[in-house]
Amino acid sequence: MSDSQTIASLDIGTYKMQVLVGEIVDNNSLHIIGMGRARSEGVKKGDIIDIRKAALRAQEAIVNAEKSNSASLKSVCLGISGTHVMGFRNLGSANVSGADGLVRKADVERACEDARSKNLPEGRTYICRICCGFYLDGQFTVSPLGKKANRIDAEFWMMHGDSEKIYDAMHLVESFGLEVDHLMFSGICSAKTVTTPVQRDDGVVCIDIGCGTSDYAFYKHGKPIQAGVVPVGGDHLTNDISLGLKLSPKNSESLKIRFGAAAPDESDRNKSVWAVGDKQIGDRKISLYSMRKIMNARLAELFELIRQDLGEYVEDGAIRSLVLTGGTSRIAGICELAQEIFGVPCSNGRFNAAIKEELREPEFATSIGLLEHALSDSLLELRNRRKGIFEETADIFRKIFNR
Amino acid sequence: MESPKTTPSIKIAAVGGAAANVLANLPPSEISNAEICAFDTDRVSISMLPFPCKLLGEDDVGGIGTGGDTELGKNAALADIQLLSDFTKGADALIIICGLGGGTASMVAPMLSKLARENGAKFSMAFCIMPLEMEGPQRMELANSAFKYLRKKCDAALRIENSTFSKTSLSEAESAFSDANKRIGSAVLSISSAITRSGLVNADIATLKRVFYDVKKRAILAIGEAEGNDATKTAIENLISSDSLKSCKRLDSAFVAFSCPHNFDMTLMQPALEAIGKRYDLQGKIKFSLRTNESQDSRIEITLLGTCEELPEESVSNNLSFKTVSESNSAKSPIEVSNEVSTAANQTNDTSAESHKKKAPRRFFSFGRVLDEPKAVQPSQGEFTFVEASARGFFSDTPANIRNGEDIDIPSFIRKKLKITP
Repeated sequence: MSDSQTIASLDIGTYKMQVLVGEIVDNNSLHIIGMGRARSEGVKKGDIIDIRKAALRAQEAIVNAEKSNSASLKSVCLGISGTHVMGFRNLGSANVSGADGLVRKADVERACEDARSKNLPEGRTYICRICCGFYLDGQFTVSPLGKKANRIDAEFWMMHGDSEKIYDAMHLVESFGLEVDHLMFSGICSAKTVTTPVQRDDGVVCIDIGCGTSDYAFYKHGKPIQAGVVPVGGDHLTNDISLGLKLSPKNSESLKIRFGAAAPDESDRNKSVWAVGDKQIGDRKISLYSMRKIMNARLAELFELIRQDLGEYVEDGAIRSLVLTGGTSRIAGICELAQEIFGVPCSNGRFNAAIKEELREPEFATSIGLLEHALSDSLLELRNRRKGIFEETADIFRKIFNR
Repeated sequence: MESPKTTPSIKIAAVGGAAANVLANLPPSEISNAEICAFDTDRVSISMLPFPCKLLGEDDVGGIGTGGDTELGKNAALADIQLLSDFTKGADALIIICGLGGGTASMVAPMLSKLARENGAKFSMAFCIMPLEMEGPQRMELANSAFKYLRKKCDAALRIENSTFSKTSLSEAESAFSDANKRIGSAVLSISSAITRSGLVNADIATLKRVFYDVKKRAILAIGEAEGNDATKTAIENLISSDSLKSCKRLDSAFVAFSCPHNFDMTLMQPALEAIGKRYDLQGKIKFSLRTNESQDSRIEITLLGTCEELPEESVSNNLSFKTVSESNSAKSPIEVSNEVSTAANQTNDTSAESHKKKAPRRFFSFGRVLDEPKAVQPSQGEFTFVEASARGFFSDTPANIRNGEDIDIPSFIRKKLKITP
């Protein structure tokens, strides 16, 4: 073991706060060495509404994580989601400067800079700006370097959120003396964890249906093309059941977990289940069909909203498959429902075989994805730094021998 | 009328003709503990007041009013800015009463609020009397932009629709408006006496600040009054059914000021407060004050100041009472009217002379440092049909989640009108 460095991720979720600690070994692989969880409080629909309560819970998670690997954390990679997150597409262009008409690194950088430099209205802050690919004289390509063209356009998906809410989340972390070294949209991270490179190349939409929000990300040509949030999650299902069947939220939650399904079955018509389950006074029978009908209405609407957001890509047939993850994706029959609405095969997300058995749960997708994102970023940084030295030396030699 | 140093200094500024009319209806004996001053560009409207008055911009305007010209109003205020600044200095709390939409108040009131903040006032509050809808969209727009500015600079800006009061009152213009003035005046009195601790049960400035802690919320003022047997109960009923509270299902905080005769039965207060708390889901976030009024009859007045979620503005329908107003006004000369009839009269007076060119709204409040220039008036929030909070259940305390014009926090089966049999 030549060199090791610890990185951590924090996912401020509506249901849970989760910290994962990873170790970068030999600058290329990731070992997950610690984990801390806490039931979330003061967060609704992915937004922090009570910073004090949320801070207490986040602290609990961080302390648990530190205990589990007996190391103190310095910085975390923070996942952002919530009702306030939005995205838009932006193009930046540059003329190819070389006399030979070949695209150089500098041209690519100029086009990227142009795309990235769009100003946001007051009160909004960028969460991440993702390069989706390039157009060389209008022709799409993923790697433009060394190709011949007059003009290069860089396509970016820019994700931004409410400044105050982002600062709230960052302050929450910084109040424990930790630094936020990466900020990332949760949906993109979880998508990368539960899809395979082949799927991402082909065109896949990953929907992370959590407790408060559903984050989706569309990958094509191996790159994220579009991502966003629909603020509907498991809480909405529980709330719908509780209002529709006049049950307490607690009972609705347990009913949802025990008997929930994404679509009613004809055979459910005459079935009923006990609301509380203890068959005591106050317990009553609930029609299974009604409950599943309520859930079906909500989930169908959720998928419709995401379908609307993805608009042209659905019509084009660019989306080849669908992957679901997140706690709410455990509901029976949810894949069939999504398949019906999007018209493409749908499956539950599968994790990379390298990930420990106990971490292969849909709830962990975001945290693992955040860690991997932090890893790839710090590797990139490292490589860039090294390349800098090498290239300088190489340049010197090139100068000596060529001239 | 300098108040002693031991009590907080409270100042009441009445800006413009409409506000002067409110003051005119206040008995001077009841407000001995607050410093009052009326500001106007119109000599006539303030000359009859039993309070200290300041005429603004005499050189520019000549003491005849601005006739709705905001440029003139601005110049007048700038000419006498020292006067305004001196007034706001040393005030712990400043209450601004203004009838917005005309040339003077729309410019001077925002300036006062800004000066008060700069001079370190701890609490500022604006009672903004909005113009009637029939006075035209231009005045409404001006009033709205002034109100928005006040809302930003003051701890609380209360929007008082002229029509809200006149609709419930007698149809005869004169009594309708003097009644409205009395009510606004009594609300001002309740607040000032609560702060200066001249009442029986008082509140401090911090309490009021607490009530209006969230500037994004809409501030509301509602008044219920009754006399005779069971006056407290009837007053509460009147309060709840008043126009400003009718559209409101839930309040975030409330301050209830009781004004009652000397022989008031204290035991009646608790059920009254409980009734309000329960009705608007206040959960103990209710503050109150009590003062005795000078009148000898058994009249009880309950003033509620509170905040609630911003709702789409209700369109105000014009009915009978306004007709009488406009007719009676058109018959008289403007000056006569402004003396006799109150609020609307003064505003109508301005309207008749209103022929000024349209100005860019951005320039309205560009006095002082340019830095403080307010942003262009933003379009009001997307309106959505109001649903009972109960339909949102768990999400009732979170902002609406609008997609395709629907609040998606409301269960899908309700919006899709599916029948559910439990």
